Amino acid sequence: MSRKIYIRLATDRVNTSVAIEGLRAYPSIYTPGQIITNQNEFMRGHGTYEDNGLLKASVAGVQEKVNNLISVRPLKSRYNGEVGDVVVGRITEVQQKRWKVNTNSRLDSILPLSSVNLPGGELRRRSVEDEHMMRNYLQEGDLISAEVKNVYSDGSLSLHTRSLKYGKLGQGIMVKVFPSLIKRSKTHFHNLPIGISLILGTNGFIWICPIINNTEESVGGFVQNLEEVVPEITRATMSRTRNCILALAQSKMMLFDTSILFAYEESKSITYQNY
Amino acid sequence: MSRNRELISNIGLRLDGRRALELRRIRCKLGLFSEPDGSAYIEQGLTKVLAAVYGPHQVRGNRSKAQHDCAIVNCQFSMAVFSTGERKRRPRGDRKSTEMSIHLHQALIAAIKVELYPWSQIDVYVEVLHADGGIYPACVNAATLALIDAGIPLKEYLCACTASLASNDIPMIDISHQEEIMGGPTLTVAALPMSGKVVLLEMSQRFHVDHLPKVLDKALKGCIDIKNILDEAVKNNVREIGSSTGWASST
Amino acid sequence: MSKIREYTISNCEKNFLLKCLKDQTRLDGRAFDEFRNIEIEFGKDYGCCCVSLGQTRVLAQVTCEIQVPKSSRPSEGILNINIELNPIAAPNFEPTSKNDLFTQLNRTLEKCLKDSKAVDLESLCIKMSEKVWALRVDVNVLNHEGNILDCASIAALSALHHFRRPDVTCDGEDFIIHKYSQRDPIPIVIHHYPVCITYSIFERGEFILADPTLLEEGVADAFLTVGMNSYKELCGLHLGGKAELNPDILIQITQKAGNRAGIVVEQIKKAVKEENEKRLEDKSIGFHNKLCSTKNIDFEDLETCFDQWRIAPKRKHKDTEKNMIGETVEEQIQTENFSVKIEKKGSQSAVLVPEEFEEVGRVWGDSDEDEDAVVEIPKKIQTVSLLDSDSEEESTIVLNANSQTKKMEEITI
Repeated sequence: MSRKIYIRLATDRVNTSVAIEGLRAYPSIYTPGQIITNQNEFMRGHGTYEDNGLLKASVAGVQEKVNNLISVRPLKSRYNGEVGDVVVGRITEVQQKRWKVNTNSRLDSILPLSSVNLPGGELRRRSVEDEHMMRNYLQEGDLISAEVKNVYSDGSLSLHTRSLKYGKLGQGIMVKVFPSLIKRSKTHFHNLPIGISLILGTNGFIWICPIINNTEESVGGFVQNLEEVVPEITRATMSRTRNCILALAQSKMMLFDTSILFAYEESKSITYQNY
Repeated sequence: MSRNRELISNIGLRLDGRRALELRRIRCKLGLFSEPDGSAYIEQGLTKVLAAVYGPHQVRGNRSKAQHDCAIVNCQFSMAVFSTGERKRRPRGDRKSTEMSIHLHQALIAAIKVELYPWSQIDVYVEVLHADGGIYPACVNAATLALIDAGIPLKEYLCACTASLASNDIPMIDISHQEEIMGGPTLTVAALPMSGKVVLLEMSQRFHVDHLPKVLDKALKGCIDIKNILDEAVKNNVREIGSSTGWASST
Repeated sequence: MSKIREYTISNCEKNFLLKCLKDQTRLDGRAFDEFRNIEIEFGKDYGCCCVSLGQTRVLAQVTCEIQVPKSSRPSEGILNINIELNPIAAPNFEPTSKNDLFTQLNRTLEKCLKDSKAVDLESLCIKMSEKVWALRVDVNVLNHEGNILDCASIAALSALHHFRRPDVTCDGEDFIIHKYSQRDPIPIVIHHYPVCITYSIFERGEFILADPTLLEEGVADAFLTVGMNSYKELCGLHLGGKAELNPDILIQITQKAGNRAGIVVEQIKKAVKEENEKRLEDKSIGFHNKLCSTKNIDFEDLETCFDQWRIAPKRKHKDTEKNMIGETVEEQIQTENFSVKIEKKGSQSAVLVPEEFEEVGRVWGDSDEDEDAVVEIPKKIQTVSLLDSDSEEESTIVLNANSQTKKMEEITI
């Protein structure tokens, strides 16, 4: 049985970025150690540092000037949380009165016990039994969607799932991309007309799942419906969406629900073979 | 490898045809892999090195290592078993690899602004695919590119270069493997080229201390040249990626 | 086994040190480029050397054996240098873990002594491709008070310079290795003497101190180690840590190190020469001469110490030797219940003898230490009565309660 093996040298690597050709107007790019300005009237923001009265860049990226605040934003970096962001994260630890969540940022984020909805939707003070029952709600390895409540001084985030749309995630596919490819927008929960729904976490974690019917009574988002059988068509759609997202990420294109939908439409013309 | 051959011939050419103060050809690429936060590949002559950076992230493993005022930098140097002329037994863990990891760590903590990331950890992994002299400088340069790709703030570029002395007291830079073996001392310098400060200095064999200033000087010039090449590559990379994403800001 | 963490420097120690540096003072009163005193002592064997740099102490030993040479270098001998960081030196050193310091020290010393070709390896060849001498230098750190590397390099070098290997003659096919007593052993050929000199750098190059102590090492940002020989040739150079140095300062330091290297090498050579002379004149050699000496204690003070002792009558004692330092003189000490004689036995030993027992001048074998060790055997062993003893034991067993004298065999070590 002969199969062809394709060996590709490093020099023949395909360049997958889709640069817009011929664009003359580049914003000013700075590299580490480059002097931005030597005027003292500017305040320095992220990505810059002061050295001998000169303002220098410390990362490679684009300069952002807001009034008299100069900062340099790198193209790729770990997720820096801001209040109000929607994130998808994975529980790494169950501690006393809180959970530690991995959100692809500098430090693990914290989900305090007081910031989750109790099962049954009760509104009461958390008791000692609740602490013992924490593991019944969320265990290590569970995926949740949450919103950033506030940012501590060392940079770690405090999350909350106080709304019914947040909570533990059930059956679906998670895709990891770089955080800079996802732009902050009004809503991060998208129901696509192709039959799937999408959560674009600002931290670069994307969750694809079958369409959520919002009409039924949610019990606070802690119930994982693992028994429901997802039909095969939906599964195929979800897989195709995932591959589209990965392709867009590879070409360094921004991810919106519209861009993913367009990519999906284009990919329909390419058929695949079921082995 | 006959010992009759001079390191520099009478007309001033070295074994591979370069002049005394010429660098080898440098090719580099950033952002190769999707898993690490930053990755880079550099070729200096025939020496090929890959670097990957993870971080800054929560300190895994030994919690007590986390420091309250700065990030810890974890370096690992590894040589592929097929990288040298004879197949290497141990890619990492032997004394020379541990020494290289330590030197890499020492050079990097002088350049990374670690005070911005308390309680975090930055991992730097370097793999040598083909060793043809100047392994340490290539590793340092690759690590610098990978750190820039990951968006970790640096004081400035960190570049490294080797230099040596030919028998008739002519300094040479960017030593290849052949020239290393043929005897002759090798001085490895890692520096911050824009401010002219030396971060790491390493020397083997011996030469008279009076020659040190000029060899050091030439090595620093070599670092400045390397920095310009790396800078060019980084700017091109930023332009490419930036225009793909449409220069959209995240806010 | 509990893990002892590294010696942590407290913030106030650190701040105080930095403040003193700004006032141009060092905590032990030295100048910024002053080194501590070096003391080199040799042991009885060839190649055994103990060096102390201030309080840092290091012991080096050179041994040799015959091995098959490396295939890439068939006519050269083998030289192995190994530093051991024993737990005796510092509480955080562990016997099993190979931490960064261990690797760095080993590699730097290897580079300084091996890669600079200080030892002539070709002279160690016996038969090409078959037999060569393999030298092994083992350096043990006994006390860590800063700057192990300098101390270790001086120790290794002195040991190599002091060492003599056995003479080998070829008898056609066989090789005969002669004992030291048969034929004079041969010293190692050393081309040049590279020593390591360490400087510690503070505050990004503002302060540079030579020969750092333990505290200064912990506070320093970076270290510069210069390996130099007396001809001002650089044999190894290493700058590491959070360093950011100007190249000019670097050149300056290497110049200063050159002067220092000359002084140190002179000291090593002188020490070895003196030691060799001592051997020739058959004077007493060994560590006990210098290593074990402590301050001279006045004899009168000793008396008052022993005055407090009460040796109750009717109890038997085995007399043990007491090492008394200083000149001892026979004297009688009268106290209430007993009288004690202090007798001089040797140059560095004396014996405390209660009057009841006569001394037996038995020597406990020929020890290597050249010390006269005396064990007193009582001629009369008195019976021990336990009726008035304070022992709270229910039953006591008395050994050697019979009245026969036991003669101790002379045991030779």
